[in-house]
Formats: sequence, structure tokens, C-alpha cells
Amino acid sequence: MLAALLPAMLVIAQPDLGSGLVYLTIAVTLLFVAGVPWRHLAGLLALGAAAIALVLVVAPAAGVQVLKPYEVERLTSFLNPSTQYSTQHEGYQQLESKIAIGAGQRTGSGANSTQIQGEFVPEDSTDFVFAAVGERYGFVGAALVLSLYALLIWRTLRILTLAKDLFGALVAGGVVAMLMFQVFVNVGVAVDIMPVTGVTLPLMSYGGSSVIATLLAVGLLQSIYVQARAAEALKGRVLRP
Amino acid sequence: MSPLSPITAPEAERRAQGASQEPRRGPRLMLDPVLTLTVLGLGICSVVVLGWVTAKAVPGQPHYYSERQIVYLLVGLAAMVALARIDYARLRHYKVAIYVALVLSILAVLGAGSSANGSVRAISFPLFSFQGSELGKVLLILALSALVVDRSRQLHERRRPRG
Repeated sequence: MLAALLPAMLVIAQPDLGSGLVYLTIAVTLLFVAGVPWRHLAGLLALGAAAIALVLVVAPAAGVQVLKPYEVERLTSFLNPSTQYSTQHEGYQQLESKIAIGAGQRTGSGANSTQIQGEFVPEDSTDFVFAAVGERYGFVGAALVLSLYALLIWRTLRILTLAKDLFGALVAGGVVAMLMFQVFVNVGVAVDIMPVTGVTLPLMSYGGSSVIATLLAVGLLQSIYVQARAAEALKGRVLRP
Repeated sequence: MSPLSPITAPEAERRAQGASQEPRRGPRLMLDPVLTLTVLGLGICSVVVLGWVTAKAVPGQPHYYSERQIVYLLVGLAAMVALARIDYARLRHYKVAIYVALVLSILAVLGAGSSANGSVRAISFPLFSFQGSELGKVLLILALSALVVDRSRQLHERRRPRG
């Protein structure tokens, strides 16, 4: 866990809170896949909760600002939707995103979409790309994209179970943690049920680093699958009379 | 006496040898079809959506961002196939180098990265910008997994009774 804390803290210092949280999620998931006892994991989660309380409540009350005011507002604004009706407020991005998704209705607004074309939704090609899917293609388009992610995550879990060794299972576990966290948080932010943390939607958001890193992770999964099949074939050959 | 005639014997022998030589070949590259098709499906969705969202972003170049996304996807797919050909277990031996590369890539971005929206997340190059934290996710998975495997083996060695 300590090995993950250093890179996570460095990334949070950029500041890139979203990626830092992905790092910590990967670390906890690897411990879970490795079979660490529940009480140790519960202890880690309790430490995490205490750290959040310290940063957001205790430190500001003592006059120490760990996060900048706009960062605190961004993290907590989703809890107070009624205060989002101002463009000066950090939560207005999520409000505009929610309006875009709602406007898409069943099959989407098509070329007449106003939220995205009118540039009301910020970062509509990266962090809020799901809002663009929702408005342009509606429930049908959003369901298709989410179904593809469900398929991707199911297949990753299947490869985890096929892995020929612990290292393969851990790598697949890390990849599934990365993908699940990013999909849940990105879509959660777009529909205003999670705080804005700047997480990309894997393979959908624009950006070379994100796309290539995700496909490298998928390459690792493919390698685990290929090696598992090869090991199985070899075992079958040896056991055959 | 052999049931094979002298004319057919070499061909049959080759066939018989083929079966025994099969294990010497490396594993055939059979990518997981479901995973591959899902990734391609998401890539196509991305290009279609970005083509619409960014059509007016660069005047006179409606396909600027979608074309770049296609290039990123093609580079990523090539990297995926290349990585699939490698036995991932070999990467475990390079855990220290991978961890150092992870920390250095993040430090490089902090030191030489360009600022955008109040944060320093990427180093800008002429054709692309490198975001160390994205690559870092994959490096972290590899380094931590190797570390956990080694630690797990050490614990098993300690618990095993010596005799």
C-alpha cells in the first residue's frame, strides 16, 4: 500500500485527484485479490475515511487549508444540487451535463442538440463525453455504450479467473479496478451523483495518453488470455494418454 | 517390415514429426475475440461521438480531433497486439525498473509539464501531449502485482516448516 501511496500523492500534487484515486483503488483491489484478510482491508478503508474527514472537515476547522477552496467546492457541490444554478458555482458543469442527458430522451436529439452544440457542457470531448452520448443518441446510445463497458468488465473478470498464476490474476484484478472505477466515476459525475474529479471515460474520451494506456492494459489482459490458453493446451497434451 | 512404402514414407514421417514438433512452437496468438470486439466497438463509438462534438472546434477542419483519435486508437491497438505476444510473467522481473519509470514519468510531468486549468498534467510535444499519470496506471498495476507476488512467496517460505 505504501508503494502505491508515493505515486498517488505525486499525482494528486499535480493536482490530478482523479488519477490519484484510481491509483489507490488499484492498490486496495490488488490486496483484495491477493487474499488479504477483511479486517486489514476494513482498517485501510477506515484510514481512508479518516483522511477524508481530516482534509475536508478537521483541518479547515483548525484553520489549515489542505485543498484550495474551489477544489473543496468541486468535491462537495454534488451534495447540494440546489446551489448549482450559477455558472460561478463549481457544480454548474454537472447541472448542464444532466440537462444534456435528459434532453436526449429515448433516441437522442440528433443534429438538433443544443446543450453540446451551444457549448453549455464544458470538456464535452473528455471528462463529460458521456453527456454528449446521452444528448446526441439518447437512452439507446447511452445503453449501448454502458453495455459495451459491462461486456469489457465481465470479460476482464473472466480472464482474471483463467489466469495461469497469481501474477496474472493480480494484473487482471488491477485492470478491472482501473476500468470499473473510471467508468463508474465518469458516468457518475455526468449524471451528478459523484463529485467532479477529472476522470476520463476509457477509450471514449479524447486523448492519446488515456487511449494508449487503456489499450496497453487490454494488451496485458490479452497476454494473460493467450498464456492461459497455451498452458491449458499443454496440460491437455501431457494428460492425454 | 514397415507398412509404409519407400515412396510414401518420407511424407508420413514428416507428418508424424509435425505432431512431435508442435510443442516447440510458441503459443499461437489467439486474442480473446470478445475483448477485442468490445474494444473496437468502444473505439468506433468514440470516433463517431467525437466527430460530432468537435466538428466546429477547429475552423475548416471538422475531422481534426476524430482523425487524431483514430491515430491514437491505431497506435494503441498495435501496442495491444505487441503486448499480447509477450509472456506477461516476464514483466515481473522488471518490477523495480517499472516502479522507477512510474515515479520518474510523474516527476517529469511535474517538472517539465505545461499548465492547463490550474494543473500540470502533461508534457506537450509537437504532435501529442504525454500525460504521465495515465501510463502510470498500467505501470502501477504491473509493479504492485509483482511486489504482492514476491511478498506472498516470502510469507509462504517463512510459514513452511523447515526440516
